[in-house]
Amino acid sequence: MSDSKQRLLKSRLSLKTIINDWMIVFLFIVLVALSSLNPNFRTTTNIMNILRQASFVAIIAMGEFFVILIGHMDMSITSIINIVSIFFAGFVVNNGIPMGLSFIIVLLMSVFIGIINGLLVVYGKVPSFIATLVVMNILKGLSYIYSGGLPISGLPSSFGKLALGRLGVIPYAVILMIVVAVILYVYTEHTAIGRSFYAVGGNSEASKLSGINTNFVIILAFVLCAILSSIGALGLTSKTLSGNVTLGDNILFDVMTICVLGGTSLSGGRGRVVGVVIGALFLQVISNIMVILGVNTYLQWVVKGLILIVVVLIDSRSKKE
Amino acid sequence: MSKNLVELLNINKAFFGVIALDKVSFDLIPGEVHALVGENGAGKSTLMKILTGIYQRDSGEIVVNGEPKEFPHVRESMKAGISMIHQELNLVNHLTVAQNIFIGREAEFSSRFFQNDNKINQKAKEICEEIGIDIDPEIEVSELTVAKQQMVEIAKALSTDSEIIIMDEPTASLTNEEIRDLFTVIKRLKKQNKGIIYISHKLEELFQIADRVSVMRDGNMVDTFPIEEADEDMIIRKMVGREIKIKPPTFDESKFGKVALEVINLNSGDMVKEVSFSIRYGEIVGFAGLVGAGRSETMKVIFGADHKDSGEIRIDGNPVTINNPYDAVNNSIAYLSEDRKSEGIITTLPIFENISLPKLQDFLKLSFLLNEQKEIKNAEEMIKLLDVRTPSSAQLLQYLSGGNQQKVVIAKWLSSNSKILIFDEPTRGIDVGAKDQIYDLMEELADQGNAIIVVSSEMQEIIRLSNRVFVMAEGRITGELSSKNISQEKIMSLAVNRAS
Ligand SMILES: Nc1ncnc2c1ncn2[C@@H]1O[C@H](COP(=O)(O)OP(=O)(O)OP(=O)(O)O)[C@@H](O)[C@H]1O
Ligand SMILES: [Mg+2]
Repeated sequence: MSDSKQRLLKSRLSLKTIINDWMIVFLFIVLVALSSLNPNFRTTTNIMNILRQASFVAIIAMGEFFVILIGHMDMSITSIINIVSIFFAGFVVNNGIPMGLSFIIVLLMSVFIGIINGLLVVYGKVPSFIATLVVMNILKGLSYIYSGGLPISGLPSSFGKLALGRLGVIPYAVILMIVVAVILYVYTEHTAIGRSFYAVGGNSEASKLSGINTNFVIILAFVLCAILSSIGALGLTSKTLSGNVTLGDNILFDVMTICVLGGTSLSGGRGRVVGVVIGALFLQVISNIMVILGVNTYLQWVVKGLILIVVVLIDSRSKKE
Repeated sequence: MSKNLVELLNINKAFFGVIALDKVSFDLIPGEVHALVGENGAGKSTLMKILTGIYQRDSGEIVVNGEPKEFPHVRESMKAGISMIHQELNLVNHLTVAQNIFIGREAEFSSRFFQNDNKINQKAKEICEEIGIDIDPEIEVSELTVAKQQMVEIAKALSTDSEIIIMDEPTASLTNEEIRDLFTVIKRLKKQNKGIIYISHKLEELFQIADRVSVMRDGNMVDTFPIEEADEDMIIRKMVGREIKIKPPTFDESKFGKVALEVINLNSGDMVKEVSFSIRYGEIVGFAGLVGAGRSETMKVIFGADHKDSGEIRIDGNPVTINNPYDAVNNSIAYLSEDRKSEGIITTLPIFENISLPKLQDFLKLSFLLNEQKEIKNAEEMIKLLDVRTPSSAQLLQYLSGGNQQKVVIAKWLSSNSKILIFDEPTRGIDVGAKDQIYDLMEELADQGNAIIVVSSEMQEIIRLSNRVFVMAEGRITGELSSKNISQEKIMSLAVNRAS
C-alpha cells in the first residue's frame, strides 16, 4: 500500500510537477544567493514581507486554479476584484453598513457572478474565455457607474489590520493564506467533490458518463473562483483602506503566471493547490529581486512575460513526452 | 540488399524502468500480411510506435528497405512510406471527414492562398469509394458512429499511398460486413505489393488474411510462423503460455428474478424509435444489429446521457425519471461506453481513481474525506480479478495498453455495485484469454442476481452470453430471439430487415 502510494506520487511527479520541484530548488537557491549578497534580505521582516505581499494574490490564484483545473478560464476576476473593492468601500463608507454585513453582501455578489459565469458556460455553451470576458466588461461598467471611477476612501483603520496586522511576527494575511491553502488542499485532494474537479478537467465526457454531475462541478469552480477573488480583493483593499475600481486591473496576468508556475496544466486535469502557493511565492520573490535591483515597472512586465512563456514552453514540451 | 520492407532487430524498450520490449525482432516482406498477436500489454502497440517514431527505442536497429533508419518523429516515418492506423481514434471531431483524411497535407490541394475544399472532398470521396465505405466526406466526424470513425482512420492511412501499413486492431469496433470490406481492401493492397502489419485479438481473422503470424508475450517475441502451420489453439497456447478451455454457456431460467428494467416506447431522434423491452434480474440480454442500428443510442438514452423525446423507463416496476447519468447511477444503472478513449477513461488520473469514480460515496471516511486506502484496496482486488497488467494501481491510465485500459473501465462499473449493467462492446481490444474470463465474470454477476445488457458487434459474443437477443435495425427492435432460437443466421436476417 505505501508502495502504491509512493508510485502514485512518482507518477504524479513525472510530468508537470517536475516544474514544481525544480522551482522549489530554484527558489531556495535564489533566496540563499540573495541573502548572502544583501544582508537586508535575510531578515525575518523581509521574508515576512514577501509572504505578506504574496498572500492575497495567492488566494486569488487558488480561485483561478479551480477554473483552470476543469479546463476553463476565468477572465472576469479582475472585474470581480474591482467591483468587490468599490462596493465594499461604498457600503461601509457611504451607506454606513457594518463591515460584517457588507462583507456578506459582497460575498453573495461574487457567488452570484460565479453562478452567472458557470451558467453561461454550462447551459449557454459559450466558451469560458468569451463568457467571462463579457462578464468582466459588464462588471467593469457597473463599478464605474457606481463610483464614477473615483476611489472611495475612508474605511475604518481597524479594517487595515487584515493587510498589515500581525500575530507575533506572522502577518494576518499570511495566516489567512495558509488557512485557505490548507482547507483547499484537503478539499481538492481528499474529498469526493475535489476529485471531481480533476476528473472533469481530465475528460469531462467520461466524467459525465461516470455519473458525475459535471454541470454542477463546472459552476462550482466558477463560484469558488469568484469567492476567493473577492476575499483576495478585500485583502488588497485593506492595504489602502479605500475601494478602487482599478485595483485588480493588472492582476490577471500574475494570477495566470502563478497557476502555470505552480504546475497547473492549462488543458485541465492536473495541478495542485500547494503548487499554486509555491508559484505565488516564487513570483513575489522575483518581483522583490527586481525591485532591489532597481528594475523599473515596465521592464518588470517584460521579465514576467518572459517567465510565463518559458514555463508554458517547458510545460508543452513535457506533455509531448 | 535485403528484400525485406521492414526489419526490426533486437529492439529494447523500457518505460520508467519497466521493460516493455525485450530484444524483439520482426520483419515484413512486400505483398504480405504479417499478423502480430499477443495478450493485452504484450508490447504490440509499443513495437509499432517505435517503428513509426512515436516512441524512441532504447537499443536495437530499424531497417527500412534495406537502409538503417532513425525516426525521431512520425513525420520521418511517414516520409519513409510507413503509415499507421492507431488502436485509439485520432480524429479531430469538429473537422469534416475529408479534412481529417488530409489533415497536415492540405497544402497538396490548395492554390497559393486558399484551401480548396472541393478538391479535398472530391479526393476523399474517391478514396472512400475505393475502400467501399459509404460516408459523406463533408460531414463532421463527430456525427459518425465509432465504427464509421474507424473507417475514416483507415481511409486516412490508405490515402497516403504508403508502402508499409500498420493496422492496430482496426476491426475492434467493426461489424462483420465492414470487416469484409476492409479485407477486400487489404487483399488489394497485397496485390500492389505493399506490406501490412496487422494487429488483432480476433484470431479467426488471421486465417482469412494473414500470411505469417508473430506472437508476443510479456515483451518478448515468442515465435513467427506461416499461417498454414498454425491453428487457433496453437496460437492461443503460444500467446498465453497455457491451455484455455472455453466452456459452453448455461442458462437456468428458474433462477431469473422479477423484472429489473422495463423500457416502454422509447423515442429519441432518428436513432431510437418506439423501443420497448424488459429484462429480469439474473438475465443476460444481448442487443445485436448492424452499425448504426441505434443500439448504443438506445442505451445512452436509458442511461440519461442522451435526450429522450418520449417513452417511459421503469425500474423494479416503478417509473423513474432519468435526466442525466447521475440519476442513472443513483438508480443503480451502469453503462460502459463503446468509446473507451473519449467516454470511458480519464487518462490523467491513476487506475484507482478511475475505478472509484462512479461511486465515490462508497469510499469515504468521516463521511466527507476520501478513503484512499479503501480505494486502492478495491482497485488492487479488481486488478487481480481482471488481470490488469500494470506495475501498480497508481499508474496513470495513459500509460496502460489499450486492452488494459478497457479492463479498468470494466472494473470501474463492477465496483459501482449497480444492479442493472449495460455493457456496450465490453471486450473491445481485450485478448482471447481475458475475454473468456470476462464472460465468466458476467455470468457470475448474472447468477448473483444482476440484470445485464450486452451490446456487441461480435456475433459470437452475443450468442455466447445472451439468454435472449433483441435485434435492432434503423432505430427499431426488429425481433427478439430466445435461448434455443439464437443463431447467427436468424440474427442477420433480422438485422438487415428494413423495419416496415
Ligand atoms: N507510455 C508508456 N508509459 C509507460 N508504460 C507504457 C507506455 N506505453 C506502454 N506501456 C506499457 O508497456 C506494455 C506494453 O504495452 P502495449 O501498448 O504495447 O501493449 P499491447 O500489446 O498493444 O496491448 P493491447 O492488446 O492491450 O493493446 C504495457 O505493460 C504498458 O503498460
Ligand atoms: Mg495495443
